[in-house]
Amino acid sequence: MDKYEYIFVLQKQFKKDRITKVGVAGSGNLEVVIKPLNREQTTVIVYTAVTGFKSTWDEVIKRFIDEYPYAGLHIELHDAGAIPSVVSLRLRQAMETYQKGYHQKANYTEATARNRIYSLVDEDSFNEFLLDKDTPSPTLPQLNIQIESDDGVIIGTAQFNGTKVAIASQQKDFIGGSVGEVHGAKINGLTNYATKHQLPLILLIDSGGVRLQEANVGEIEISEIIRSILEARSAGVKTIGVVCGTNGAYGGMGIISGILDYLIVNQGARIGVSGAEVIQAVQGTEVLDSRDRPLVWRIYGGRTRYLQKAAQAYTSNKISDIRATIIDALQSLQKHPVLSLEQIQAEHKLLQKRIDAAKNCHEQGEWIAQYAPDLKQYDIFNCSDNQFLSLAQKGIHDD
Amino acid sequence: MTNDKVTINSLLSGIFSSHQTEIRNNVVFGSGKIQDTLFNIIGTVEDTSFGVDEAMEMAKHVLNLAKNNNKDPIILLTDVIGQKLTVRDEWLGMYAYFAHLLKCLHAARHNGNKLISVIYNQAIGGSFIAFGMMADRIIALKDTQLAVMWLEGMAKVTKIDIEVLRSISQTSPVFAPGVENFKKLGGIHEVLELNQVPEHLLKIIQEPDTAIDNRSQLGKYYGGRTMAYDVVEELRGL
Repeated sequence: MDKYEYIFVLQKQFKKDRITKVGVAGSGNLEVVIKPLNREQTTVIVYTAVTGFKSTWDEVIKRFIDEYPYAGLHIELHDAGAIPSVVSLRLRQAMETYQKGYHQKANYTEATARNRIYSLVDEDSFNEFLLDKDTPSPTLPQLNIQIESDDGVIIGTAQFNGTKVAIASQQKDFIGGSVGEVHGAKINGLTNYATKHQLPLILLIDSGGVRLQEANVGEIEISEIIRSILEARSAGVKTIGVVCGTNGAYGGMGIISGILDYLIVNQGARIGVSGAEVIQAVQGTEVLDSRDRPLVWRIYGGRTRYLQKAAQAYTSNKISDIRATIIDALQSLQKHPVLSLEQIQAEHKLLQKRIDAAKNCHEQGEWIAQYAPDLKQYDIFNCSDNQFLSLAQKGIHDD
Repeated sequence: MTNDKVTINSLLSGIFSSHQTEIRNNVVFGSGKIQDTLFNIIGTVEDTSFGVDEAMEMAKHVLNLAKNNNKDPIILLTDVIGQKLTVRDEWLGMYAYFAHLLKCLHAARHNGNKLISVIYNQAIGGSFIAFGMMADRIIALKDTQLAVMWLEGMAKVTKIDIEVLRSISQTSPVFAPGVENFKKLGGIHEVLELNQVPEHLLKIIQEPDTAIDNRSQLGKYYGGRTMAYDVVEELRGL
């Protein structure tokens, strides 16, 4: 890990604004953190996982200061091997965001964790927790892996149509949205906060589960989150999971998605414990070819989970659709009873019914071919979202 | 790996003065006594690959206790070699079946059953989350293998040199397998010899406040987890 420091004494002052974080400290990318600085200078500190490119950094940073010759900024870069043009782009985006606030995105899957929150919630309603306090992983530096100042999860409070919620968003491109010590502790702490203040809890899940580089501690954190969420539910907190990202919800995060009141999925969603690659590695390609994407989605995918009634709502990739679905969920959960033994007993019956109905099938496509030929003719895994929804809602459910 | 595998029968007779149990779907269930104290027994047999059917079997017995208003402590005997790696279990939504079992155990805790896990032989991967880690107190027998993933697999997936992983794991409990590492992180409460278990179980059921999750605090106390407790406490203060 290399560290380079630059100090520029400059005349023009920049208007002070809130701490801004842009980009992701994932492979080929970088995180830019801008904090206001009460001096007639601007400092830039570069932390990079790629050693030996000081002259390139000198040039990129000089060019940046030529473009933005303003004092009053403290800028930190957490670089995970970005090329110079990406660095320049992120710096420019960070400056724009510092001045004008976060961009509203239209497409959920393409947005970063922070952009997802800012795009989904009521304007100016997001209050990020621990923003002024960097909380990177204490373990990654030993392994020479670039840290991210927020450890890959953004937490805070926000509003949906005026309803205040506690919300967390996982950074899919920072080590796969994985749960390490701090990442897990932030979700755990947010859950306790939701219980204390009686706020609905919304988790924007996009994760492969436990972070292998922090495997033991990540696993314990998952277990702690599970206990906190169940305590929250018993205390009346309503919990919503949004699994609409490219990593899905796997491993421990898959299990966490299963303990929530309400799950929102889309076509790209996947929920499971072990990924297809793991099953293939152990059982062989003849059991499961993980490159067979249609098959993988028939096993784990959002449409399968919705047909199984394992997910309560099905939506698209569009931020506006996901926002509307969350607002609907908050509305319908108001009347939803607090977690009780009766509810769990009812769930037991439903889950047993799912096993019985599966007969000897191994995946949703095989089941539909055998037991729902009507559905097969509509090509239910490839038709449009609207057609899928109308077929599913017409009651052609698999039970 | 130790050569002396603990069998479920030797475990049961090592812990309980008397016991009545049955085995179905790799799940052992019933009741046992230590001196005059009655315990519920629910757990997995040796080398269980834990999937949908095992989770449902176990959930059924936990729910039965609630139905019968049984508030005796539940001993969760845990030997899991991993989650079941089958297409059928994943398609059915193994995550939801694990989650269901966790909800049942949560309800039992609220019903007044103390939950104590005894890990024997091994607990590997996500299957440890499915029930073993859900207890108020988690005991591992000495020589138990505890791992999310072995270092060889971790090196392969993370592309970090295995020698680097080995050298860091000399001082850091964060990723390397081992009961002592889990204890330093607060994830295991006690590491015991089998003959120490009965007395310890009797002690735990006398303790008040075992239903409060104290693992992040223990992780800080033992020095294995440097940040989690403080982050949680800071958020609690907001």
